[in-house]
Amino acid sequence: MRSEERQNELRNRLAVFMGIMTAVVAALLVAVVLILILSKDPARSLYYYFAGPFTSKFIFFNMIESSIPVIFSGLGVAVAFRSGVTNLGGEGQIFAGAMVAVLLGVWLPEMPGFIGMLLLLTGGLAVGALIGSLSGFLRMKWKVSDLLSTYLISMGLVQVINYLILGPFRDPARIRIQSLSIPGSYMLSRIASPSYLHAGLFIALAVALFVHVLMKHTHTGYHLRVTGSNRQFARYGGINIRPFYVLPLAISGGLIGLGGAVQVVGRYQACFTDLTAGLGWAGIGVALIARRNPLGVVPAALFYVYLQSGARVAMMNSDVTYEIAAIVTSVIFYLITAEVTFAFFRRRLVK
Amino acid sequence: MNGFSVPAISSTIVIMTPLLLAAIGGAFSAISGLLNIALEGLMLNAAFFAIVLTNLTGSLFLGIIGAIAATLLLTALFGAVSFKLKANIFICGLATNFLAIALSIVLAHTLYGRTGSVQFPGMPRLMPLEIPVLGDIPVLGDIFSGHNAIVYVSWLLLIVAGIVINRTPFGMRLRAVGIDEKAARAIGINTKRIQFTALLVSGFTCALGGAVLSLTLGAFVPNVTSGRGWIALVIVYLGRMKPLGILIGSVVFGFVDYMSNHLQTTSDIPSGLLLSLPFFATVVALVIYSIGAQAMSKKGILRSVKRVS
Repeated sequence: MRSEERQNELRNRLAVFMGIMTAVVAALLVAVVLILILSKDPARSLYYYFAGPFTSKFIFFNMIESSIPVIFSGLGVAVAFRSGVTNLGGEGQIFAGAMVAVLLGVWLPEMPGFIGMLLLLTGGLAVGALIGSLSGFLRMKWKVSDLLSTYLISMGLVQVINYLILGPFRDPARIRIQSLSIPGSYMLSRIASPSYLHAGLFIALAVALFVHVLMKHTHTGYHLRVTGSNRQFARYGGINIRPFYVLPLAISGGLIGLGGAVQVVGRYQACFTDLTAGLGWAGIGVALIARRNPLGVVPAALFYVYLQSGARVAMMNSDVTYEIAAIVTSVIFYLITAEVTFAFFRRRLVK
Repeated sequence: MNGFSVPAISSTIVIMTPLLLAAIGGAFSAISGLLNIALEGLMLNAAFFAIVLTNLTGSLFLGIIGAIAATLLLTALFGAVSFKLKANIFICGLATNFLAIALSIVLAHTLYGRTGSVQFPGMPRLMPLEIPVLGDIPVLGDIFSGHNAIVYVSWLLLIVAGIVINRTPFGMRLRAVGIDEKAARAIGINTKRIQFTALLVSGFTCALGGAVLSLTLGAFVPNVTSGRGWIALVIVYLGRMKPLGILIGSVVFGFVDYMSNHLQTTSDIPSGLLLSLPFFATVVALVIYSIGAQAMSKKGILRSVKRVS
């Protein structure tokens, strides 16, 4: 009896996995079809799209590097979705985290590198958490939709930060438009030069593990998950549900803001207007591919950046444009929640 | 600072048109119980196709018709995936927004070999129409005459929407589905078809909204919608999905938009900061509305308690 239950549980998981794979394979097929239609030399484009990221160590490690911020935003969104709140403010939270890291680095007197770096990361985390909890507070106090407020606050902040970069904090000594730079001693070390891959990868992996433990093995995480799956049930079960609008959005925003700060101390040393470039939205896709599971976010992020990286290599080596990756990822968005595919495999596999 | 003047009101009327159009369509979806967050993408899609097809056909009329057709197709895809494949409508809405952006860039790259803004010299533009009698009345004429055709179409659509929602069998079914989908299904309404139709109405009005954006500009600029679809979604809720409420909401946010443009040229506030104004103003409006709604519902509860006792 017991083993039969366990077997069914395993089969259920397999069904979910097959459902995810269906979305992934469909997206890859769309990529193939698009390239066949759009490219004058489809064989070459296809080769670079799918094998491109593995053609050199430089490209490969850069791809890994680009997964770092996506892991952070994916974790943030996964926590929010698991806890029954919505965070569409990733773009603004990443950007704010990065900008605050720059501001702290520029304003504060220079200090020993490691301490400076920690302080900047803490700043990014704090500002992200603050922005998230503002939406959570509005939801708790006045029932303002968190879906709308996270998005609107984020878009407003993006404009403000763009202004800071183009105006008061612009570095006049550079041709490229960017903010002033933080001291080089605060930067995380590169771990696979000449690529940009930096020690932020370890921070991202550690944070993913931390979020996993938090959600699965602590009281707080249990409360978050229970309120997330059924708020009324949680209330009857004796959980004070009111803070569980603020807390999940604070954690979510904090994780995403931290990701922004890591971009500064790991990669760019400064802030510029295109820094977010859809990283916040990528987090939503990644969290959905991972079925809101923190540890699943890491492979999901790697897959997500593989799609992008392939498109970038294909653009450099053949005639397709990078944005076909955006079409491919929107196909994933369309299909990743499609109940029909999951139900299909469940019917086949689970007795 | 003369924000409140005849030209200000006239400009607000033009600026609010895409908001009004998107909100009318958004209201149909919202009444049927769907949160349509794809308004932004649908408008963007239409803005792009309006420019491409107007240039291709040489006719504004055909360009707009084509933009409507293209946007209805995208809406149908959106609806088909969420209803036929039972995918989460909110995630599908996001997907539609991304797809619209990606399509515009990939198509611009394929057709014209460039990304970024798309424009053609000598392409016909939406021209202001002088209304015969109205235009001659001093102040009213300056305010209400001399706009492009889509502005007047948007007013007409608002009235039509009010009639359809309140006075037709379709409108009754639409509201029934939104109030209680299961009950509506039980009395034999095809709820999915009603909701799908509501989405298509959103697609249609968003198409006009997007077309008016790019055709008055005479160019397609990436992110030409700049959050208007989302603000329209907020207008739908603040206006309680009612035509008059939507009109008032569109006027208010149209005016905020106008002010953020106007102050860029007339005040010392940096223009970059002013770009954030529409978003923050929308959040503030949402908060004020929610506080009001909560106070009202508390009163309502008190009243019903009294009635019982």
